[in-house]
Amino acid sequence: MDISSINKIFDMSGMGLLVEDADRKIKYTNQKFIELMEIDSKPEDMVGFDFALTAKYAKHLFADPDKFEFDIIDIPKKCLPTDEIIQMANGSYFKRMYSAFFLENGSYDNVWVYQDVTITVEKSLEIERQKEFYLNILDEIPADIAIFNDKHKYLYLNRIAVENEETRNWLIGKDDFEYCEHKNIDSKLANLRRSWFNEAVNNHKPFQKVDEVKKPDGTIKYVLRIFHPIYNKQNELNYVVGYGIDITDQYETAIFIENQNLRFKKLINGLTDGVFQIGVDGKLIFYNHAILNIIKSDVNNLLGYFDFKTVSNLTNKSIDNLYKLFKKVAANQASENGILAFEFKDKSIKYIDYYFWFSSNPVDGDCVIGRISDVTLQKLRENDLKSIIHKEKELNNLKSHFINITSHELRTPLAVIMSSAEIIDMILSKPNLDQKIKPENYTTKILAEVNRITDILNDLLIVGQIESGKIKFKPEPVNIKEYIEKIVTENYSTYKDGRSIDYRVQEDGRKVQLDKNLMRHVILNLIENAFKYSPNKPAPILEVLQTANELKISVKDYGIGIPKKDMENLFQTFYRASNVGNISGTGVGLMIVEHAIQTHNGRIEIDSKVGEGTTITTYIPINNVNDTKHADTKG
Amino acid sequence: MQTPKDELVLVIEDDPGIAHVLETILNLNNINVIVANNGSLGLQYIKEKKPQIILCDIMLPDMLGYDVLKIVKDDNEKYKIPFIFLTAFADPSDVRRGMNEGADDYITKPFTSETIIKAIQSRLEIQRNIESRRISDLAV
Repeated sequence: MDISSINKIFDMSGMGLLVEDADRKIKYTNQKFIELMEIDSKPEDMVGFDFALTAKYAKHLFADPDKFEFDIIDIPKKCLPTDEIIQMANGSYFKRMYSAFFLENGSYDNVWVYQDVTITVEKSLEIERQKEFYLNILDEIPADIAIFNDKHKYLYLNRIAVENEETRNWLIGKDDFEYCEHKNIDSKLANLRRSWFNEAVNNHKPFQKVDEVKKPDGTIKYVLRIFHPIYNKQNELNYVVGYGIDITDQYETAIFIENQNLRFKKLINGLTDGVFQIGVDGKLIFYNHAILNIIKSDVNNLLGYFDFKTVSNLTNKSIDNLYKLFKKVAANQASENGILAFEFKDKSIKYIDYYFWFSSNPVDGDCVIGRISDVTLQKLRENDLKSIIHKEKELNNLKSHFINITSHELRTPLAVIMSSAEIIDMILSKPNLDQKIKPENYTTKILAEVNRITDILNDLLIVGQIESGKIKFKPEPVNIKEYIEKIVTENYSTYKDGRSIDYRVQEDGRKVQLDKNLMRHVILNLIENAFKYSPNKPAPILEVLQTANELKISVKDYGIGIPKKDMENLFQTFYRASNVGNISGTGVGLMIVEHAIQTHNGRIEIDSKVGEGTTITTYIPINNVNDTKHADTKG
Repeated sequence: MQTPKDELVLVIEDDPGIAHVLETILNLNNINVIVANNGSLGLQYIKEKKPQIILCDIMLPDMLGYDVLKIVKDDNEKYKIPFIFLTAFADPSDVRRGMNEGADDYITKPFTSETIIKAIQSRLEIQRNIESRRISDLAV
């Protein structure tokens, strides 16, 4: 091949070529080389020129001109092949290769080849820069970062993982066991990390664990360690990235929050008040243990229940009431409070003091928070108290009625007594008075009026005893005929207006169990009323009839009668019918009659027509006959 | 002081005990008494017997003492008969009502004979004075 062909090949390859002899005289160069050195001449004209001298003129083209000049002189002296990258002043890079080419005459030629490698060098520099960039980042990330191969050997460690560069470099290609051995520490740590590594690799997914690390100053550092296996497209393990983040602050915060949570839970579950939070959709978000007690739930976890129907033992009616309240509070975005009655399926009732209010927060959205307290005991106490107060009021009313009645009803007999006493006094002080006026007439009057007062007081006394529940029932066998006759003759042989009662007793000889005192009040009250409310009318009729099963006592009068509207209140203490007019009375008689008859397990019937008269009939069962004598004679 | 026997007191009282003791007390004090045991009989006696004074209970079987008083007042506009209530209604409000209705006196039960006699005598005294003035006026 002639020189021009070689020249062409070199030009085509883009490489500059220069051959000089040992005396530095240029023997050959190509166009590329001339261009490179910016020589204003043709390559063939350069033959015979001193290259060292030429280099002097071209040195400014190089980034380090002095080094270039020096190398050009120095390299050929050693005759050793060199291969290096040199940078040009314009920023491009050339690969300079030198080789001594020994000739047959024992001399040698210097062969210089310059190849433009700007693109290659820049690429590799870029890669280097990028590598440094990422390594820097890895070093700056505040986390331990290590990359392992499939055998858990270190491929990479960042500066945070191992601060000492020497150790860091030493570790590459080794594992934690070797590290422990190297540092002469227990391999427990290595075992632990190996197990985590295996966990990640075996499960094909990242594995994480909080690692407690004791720092040299004795304090504990919490590190979240994650082993992240990376697989290639063929699903083969490439490597495992391990990183550890110091989460001491977060961990301590979490522990603090956990403790707070625990404290809160203990507090809220220790309450006897029920507390809950319910979403506007009716779903239970939060509740405390007291709720379970209050709604009598057998379910351990209520969370997420849409309604209490499935979890409580409340009746549907109570649950509906509860939900009406929730809906109202949610709709009005307001609050509601008061007392609800919770009815349970077992028929029991709890009184619940409630306070529900609307709340909205980023976690739960719109919801209703409620506080419910079981106030059954208080409510029952309150009811007791109310009934005591009611009873007290009734007694108080009774007292004022008593005072009114005594002051009014007792005044007339007292006036008679007072006047009679004065008359007796006058008779005694004036012996020559009219003989018709006799003191004994007035002593009789006094006694009669005292009896009248005593009757009123006795009635009131009995009312008091009935009202306070102190009256005693003392039944005894009674011969009806004797008993009735005695009462009638003693009290009503003649009424004060001159009328006499017409009475009939029909009995079978058996004695009847009666409380004589109570029944006396019944008979006297019925007869007294019959006379009192039938002025200027035929005398009342008393009829007593003993049948096989009951004792019937009936008093009929032809008096004013009882209006229908007064019938239902007739037996109330101090109640008097609307048509009594000026007829005096205390309004306690029928109340006593009713109580006495009820005490004997009997019943009362009233048949009355206004303007025509009244018949009051009492029936007392006599199946409790206790007359052994009579039983004997029969048997 | 003795009251002439020709002056008549009407007692309207349904309680026979009260009526009887009143009659006795007044008789012992030389006062003529006539007793009516209900309101309408009392009104009849006022017309027939022309009593000089009326003692009337309030709670009567056929009417109230107030009604008796009203009828008496309406029938005797020019010549007024002294009217005294005698009653068990002792509340101050009852007394006020009785007086407002136009009664000349109001006596509550129980009463002393002295209260009754004094009330009757003082009314009769006033009545006698009015009567004598009326007669002298006619003489002129």
